[in-house]
Amino acid sequence: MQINLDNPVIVQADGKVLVEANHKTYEHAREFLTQFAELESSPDALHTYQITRISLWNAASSNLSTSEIVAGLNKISKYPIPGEVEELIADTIERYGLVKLLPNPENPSEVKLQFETPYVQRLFTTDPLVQDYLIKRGRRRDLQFSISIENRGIFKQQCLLADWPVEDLAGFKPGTALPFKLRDRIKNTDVVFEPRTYQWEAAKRWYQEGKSTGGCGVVVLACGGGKTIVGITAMALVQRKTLILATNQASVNQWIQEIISKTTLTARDVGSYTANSRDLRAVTVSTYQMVSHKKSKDDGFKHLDIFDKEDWGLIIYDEVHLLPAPVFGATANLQAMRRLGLTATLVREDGRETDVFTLVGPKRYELPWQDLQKMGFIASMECVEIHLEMNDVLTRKYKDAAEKDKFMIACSNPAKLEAVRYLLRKHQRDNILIIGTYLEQLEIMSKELNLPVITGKTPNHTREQLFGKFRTGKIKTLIVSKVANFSIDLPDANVAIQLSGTFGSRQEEAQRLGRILRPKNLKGKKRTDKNRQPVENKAYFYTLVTKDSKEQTFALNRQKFLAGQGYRYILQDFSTLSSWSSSPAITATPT
Amino acid sequence: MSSTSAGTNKSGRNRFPKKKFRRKRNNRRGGPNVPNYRKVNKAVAILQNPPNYPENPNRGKKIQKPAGLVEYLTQLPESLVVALYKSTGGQPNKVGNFDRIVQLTTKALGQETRLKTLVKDLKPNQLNSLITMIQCGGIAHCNEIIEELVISYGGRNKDWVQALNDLGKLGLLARSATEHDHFFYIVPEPLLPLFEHALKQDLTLPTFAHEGITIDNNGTLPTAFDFSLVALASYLHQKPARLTQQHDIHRNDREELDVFFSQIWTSNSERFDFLLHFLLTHGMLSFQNAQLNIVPGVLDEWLSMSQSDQTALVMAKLDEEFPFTEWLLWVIHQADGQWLPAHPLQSLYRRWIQGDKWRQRFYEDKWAEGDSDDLPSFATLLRYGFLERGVWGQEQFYRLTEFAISLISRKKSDQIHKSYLTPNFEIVAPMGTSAHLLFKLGELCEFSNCDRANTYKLTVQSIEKAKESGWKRDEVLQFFAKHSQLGIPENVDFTLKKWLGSDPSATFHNVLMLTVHRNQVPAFESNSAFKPFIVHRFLPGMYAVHPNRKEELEAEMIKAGIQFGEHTIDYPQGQSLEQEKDLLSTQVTEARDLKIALADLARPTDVTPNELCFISEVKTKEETKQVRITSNYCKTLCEQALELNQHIRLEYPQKKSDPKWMTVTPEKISAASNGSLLLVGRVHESNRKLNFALHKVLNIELIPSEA
Repeated sequence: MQINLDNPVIVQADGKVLVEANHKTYEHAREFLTQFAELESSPDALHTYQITRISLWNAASSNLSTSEIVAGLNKISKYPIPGEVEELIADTIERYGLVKLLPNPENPSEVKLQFETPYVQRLFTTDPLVQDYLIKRGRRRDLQFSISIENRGIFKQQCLLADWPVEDLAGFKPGTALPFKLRDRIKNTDVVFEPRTYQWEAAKRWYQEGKSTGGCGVVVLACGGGKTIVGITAMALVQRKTLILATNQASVNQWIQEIISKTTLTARDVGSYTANSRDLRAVTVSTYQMVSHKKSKDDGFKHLDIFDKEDWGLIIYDEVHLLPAPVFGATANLQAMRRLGLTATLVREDGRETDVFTLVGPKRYELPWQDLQKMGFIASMECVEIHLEMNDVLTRKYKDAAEKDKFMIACSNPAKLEAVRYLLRKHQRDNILIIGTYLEQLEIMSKELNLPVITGKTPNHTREQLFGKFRTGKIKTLIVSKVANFSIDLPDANVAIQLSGTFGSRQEEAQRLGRILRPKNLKGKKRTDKNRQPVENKAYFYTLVTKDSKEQTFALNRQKFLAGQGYRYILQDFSTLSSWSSSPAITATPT
Repeated sequence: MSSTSAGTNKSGRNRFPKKKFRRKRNNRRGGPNVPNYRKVNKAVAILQNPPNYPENPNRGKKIQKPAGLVEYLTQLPESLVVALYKSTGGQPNKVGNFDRIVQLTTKALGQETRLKTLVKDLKPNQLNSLITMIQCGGIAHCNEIIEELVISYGGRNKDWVQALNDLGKLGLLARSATEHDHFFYIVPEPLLPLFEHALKQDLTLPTFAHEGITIDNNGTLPTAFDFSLVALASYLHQKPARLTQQHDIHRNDREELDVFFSQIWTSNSERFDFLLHFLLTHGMLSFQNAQLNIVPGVLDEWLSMSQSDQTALVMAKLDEEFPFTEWLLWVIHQADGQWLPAHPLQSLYRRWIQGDKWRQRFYEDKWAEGDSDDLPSFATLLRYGFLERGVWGQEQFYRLTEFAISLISRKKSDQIHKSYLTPNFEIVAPMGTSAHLLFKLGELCEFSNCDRANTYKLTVQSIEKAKESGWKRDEVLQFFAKHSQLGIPENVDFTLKKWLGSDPSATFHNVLMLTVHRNQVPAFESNSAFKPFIVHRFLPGMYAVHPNRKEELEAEMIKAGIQFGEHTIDYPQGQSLEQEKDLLSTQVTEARDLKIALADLARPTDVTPNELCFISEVKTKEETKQVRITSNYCKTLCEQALELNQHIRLEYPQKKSDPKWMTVTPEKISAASNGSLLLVGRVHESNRKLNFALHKVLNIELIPSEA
């Protein structure tokens, strides 16, 4: 057995890859591993990657071979890699591309199937999961298989279920041309605009110079990393009519604003297709909700048909990990277009990562948050979990309550109001978001603290107004519900106080954290507030948790997740905190 | 040579000349207490670099040109010495007397080139016979060696007989007395190390390397012995395996165990059985409530043992099934990780076993041919995971696994003493982490995965369990702070402290308690002589005293005139653990003794030169029988004397005078730091207590108690 304890990596039999983060060759190991494994956790000393089928298919789509992976792993591993892992790699990588989808010039309404060997053809064509989609032509030796172009998406999904990851080389519809350029300076300002190196790199890796192997796939960037700019850069490379699907109205507005301010496209070229306006333009931004909207259960997707009629050259899926399941089915028919998925994490709580892979494409680029932080593009983060006690009345209520209500009771602990007051005092000069799940609690907070609140009920124009005021500094503190979890760009927010969350949702935690990750001062360019005080590139994420309750149990899961991601995580008791004002976590903030 | 003249020789302290004092013809070979000659250091005779035992300087000591060669040769039959002189290039006809021949032969043997030339000039059959003789430990039965040679090299019986005779004629080989046409071939003892040196190349086992060798190891992870043992112990500590009425592990539990340890062993693996049996026989595992429960105290004791004691215990266990395990492992280990072809390795092992049997029969006067027993198969070691087998074409090869290497050559200092405690409450301990740390982690955390890096989860339940088993708040925090690469992450520290809670309001103490009668308390407390022994003063008259210094305290109390009870009062709890620990310590002592015996016996056939005959001479036993006073013989006699409360008379060399006969009352037998056996006894003549190195004893006899 070849053992080399000087190497930084340990490959476990379950596909986990442990990397010593302080090792001198860590950077090299990380670069290699990100090609075929997903980063699972990255605490200080030891980072964990996971090799999965999806991650390996992603690698295979980037032409990485089994031997390259195995040899590379052996080179950086302390111990020989387990047989199971070697088998998994070989089996997964080698299956990718055994079946290819190719354009059918004779019949554009169909896509041709190409098999690596006759044996593969025999196995594949007899698989009951895919058989129904196959169109057979010719006889015995000249047997040709194809599928209808409409079934391209669903067929790929079925193939994946049958363990035949298909390499889609059928190409894309060109779409209507849309010539435009990226601006040198942001519109109506003197601020220089140029996509960052990694944003260019991500867009280029996705586009692959227009080859049939490129033009589809996912770019993974941490919150605050500038995914929108990657999308706009991709649009600039493709230069075609574009449909952008986002999570909500606020996000739609942000996209439109960004496109108009950073490209030569004007308001005439960019429109939104939402509940408020139905403008189909050369660049149309819509929501997932609109795409998947049905009048009744038995009806078809009303708006999707409208989109189908347009000659799009590119679809961008913002926050692709949130793509609702019905939209997968709906967009399966949009396979003939170039597709770009943007996300901060490929992990889906519903486990539908494979759908992202088949319908949007493989992962083309990923940059972890640590690297962005090192480059100064996102703020450094400190997470503080503050534990509060229940008063006697609440304790009694909590004990008597049904199990299902206990979490809500603990989350709505009135002692949190006092804690919020304390934190607001500590962060008087900061821009604070108070985030919660329970509307009643948010209303109480709003009333008691005399602060504006945004919930699902708040009309869009009011939301926009409040967000606008927050961005300009007219409002320093904003209370928001779940609506602000995603895609809201509030770059000046540097403190988040989480009153309550959706049980142990890791995704929600990451997204909420993402709201305050935007850089507080850019590299080499100190930001100052309106009083010309330098703004520290640091953000604080407070979570208020009721002690000895179900909330604490769920908070532990979220704590593990965030700490596992490598964020500094501190726990404190409010009773000691409020009486002891020199707490290190608190005094670290500018007051 | 007479005993008198030999007695005047001051060099009687070394190994060879001492034998010339053994003149007394009391035949002990047929006696009831045949010493255990089971093991002789054949490895010395086989390898250029014999096993180098770190804590036993006797082992692996390279034998230089033997001192006392002149005296030895003087006692050999003249014809044998003459032949030897001639074969080393001498011309006996031109030398006047035997003493001169002896001197010249000694000189010739001291010259490396002469011996090398002698060996070089040997014919292939002669050379192979000599190599085989050396590998058998220098002794071989006249007929059975022929069989061995035919099996190993082919050819006809008579050719091999001829080859051995030729070696005899060259003076390289002697024969024992003959009985019913049976005799033993014996290589004169002092020649063995010289041959080893001259035949270094031929005696070294060949190694093999080829990319095409396929390894037959079931794809399991080759872990270190203690890693596997502690992993299993940790698992059983957390999930005690249920037993069926037939005392087998419950099927479901066994399946779970196999799944959990699938990286270390395959299902129904014998490695698992070996480890389980090892834990059981050494009291680290016990049957309780139809379950297999770990006894943490005993396991802790095992973990704190020195590497050599741990190895001795494992080897003693293995020896029950596979003799000479340790030597075999050492031989393979010296190939430095390369493959050793199966055929020469098996031949060597077979010759060890046969040589051992022949030696025993020689000592037991069983001259006739014995039954050929089946050789233990290497399969045992393969199944237990000590060896791995490679196959290339039709050839098979062996090398050690990490499991075995870790036992015989890894040092505790090479182990990793830190693990990774991550902020998400996971602990990762890679292979190579010290067994002690692994077990402690198993006590504090949930053992979640056994692989190249073991992973553990820190949970509120695991901490509760650790508290129940005696871990204290500060101990836990200190443990993690000490054994974590980057200390305890802030969030883990906070949560851990919460889980651990505050210090308890009631604490159990495990102490050696001394109570003093209230009348004596002032005298006791005012006496400064007692202070060093008192660890804690609970109350006036109630003290915790140092458990390891009880005897010293008793002595001080006697001096101070304070009477104390003869027996320590034991309270019911905790006794079984002590018993188990005692059992383990007894087993260690036995295993150590076995090692000492190995070291003591690590020399060629113990036969006096006068017992040897020239190859062409045929003598009866009666004509050659001599007394062999060996340290083991002395040990046996001393043990007998101790048991029967008898005195012994022994002849022992003196520094400034001739050897002296003394009457001694034996008190105990102990081992010197170099591993040799010592008799501690009171000498009647001088009434002094002296130590006698048993290997230096020239003559020894029991004196009946009436005398």
